[in-house]
Amino acid sequence: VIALEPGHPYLRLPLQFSTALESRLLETVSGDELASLRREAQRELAELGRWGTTFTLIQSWGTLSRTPRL
Amino acid sequence: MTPAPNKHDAEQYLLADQPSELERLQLQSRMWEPSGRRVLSKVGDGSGRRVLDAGCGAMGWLRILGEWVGTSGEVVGADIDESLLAAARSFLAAEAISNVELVVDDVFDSKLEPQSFDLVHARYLIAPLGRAPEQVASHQRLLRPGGSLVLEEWDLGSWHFNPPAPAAERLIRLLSEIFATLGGEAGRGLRNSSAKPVSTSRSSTRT
Repeated sequence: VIALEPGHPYLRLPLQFSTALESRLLETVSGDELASLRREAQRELAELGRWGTTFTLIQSWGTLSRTPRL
Repeated sequence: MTPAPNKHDAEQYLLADQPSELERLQLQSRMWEPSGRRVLSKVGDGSGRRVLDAGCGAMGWLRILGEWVGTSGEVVGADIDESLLAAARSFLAAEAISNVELVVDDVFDSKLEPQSFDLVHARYLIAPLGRAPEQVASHQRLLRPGGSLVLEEWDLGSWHFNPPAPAAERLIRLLSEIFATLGGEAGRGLRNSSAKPVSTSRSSTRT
């Protein structure tokens, strides 16, 4: 998890996702509701002093055996 | 980050030709590079290795893998979306990174040579695409004996604002629902995997 200081561009990730996935979002909410949500989220995220935390990055790794399993 | 079974699914997942989406992907890669470097340092010495970033998108792990393998190594960045690879190509040129090759490839129908990589990395594919068994099996086929598989996924549970931002957090909940309908679970990308365990000599998970 990364703490994002006020004004950090990654705070806007929900807005960027909402653009990339707009067609999908419109299957769930109306165009008016989505536009309203975006306007309000834009306003919220531009407010001075608002900071945030990212999603949690889960990292997993493993190594294959060098010899075949019996 | 867009390997998908077909172009339609890729378009549903990302509108990759949007400048804002390319910017998001490159910002995202820069944000998480320090975490990637830490994992690679635990995997070991990468000098001279041949590695794959599956679903590299516009940047992915290309820079940190290029550093890890060094000038004697080779990085292959693969993605199903040519427009993202074009952005990756521009990024590599701007950064003067010369040990990376970019190829169009579908993680679920890979044409890359089996057992030809020392490490395969994939990020944010299981949760949104929801095809963990097929995906992990594909990665395993590409690994040489003794090779390493590195997977990164997200858990949206910590994605918050302070003071709270109700509209932005409502958008996050809607996005989480979308990923769930695509077959994955945004909060449980790895936990949702029903793949058979990779045969490992060592493995770790951390958040």
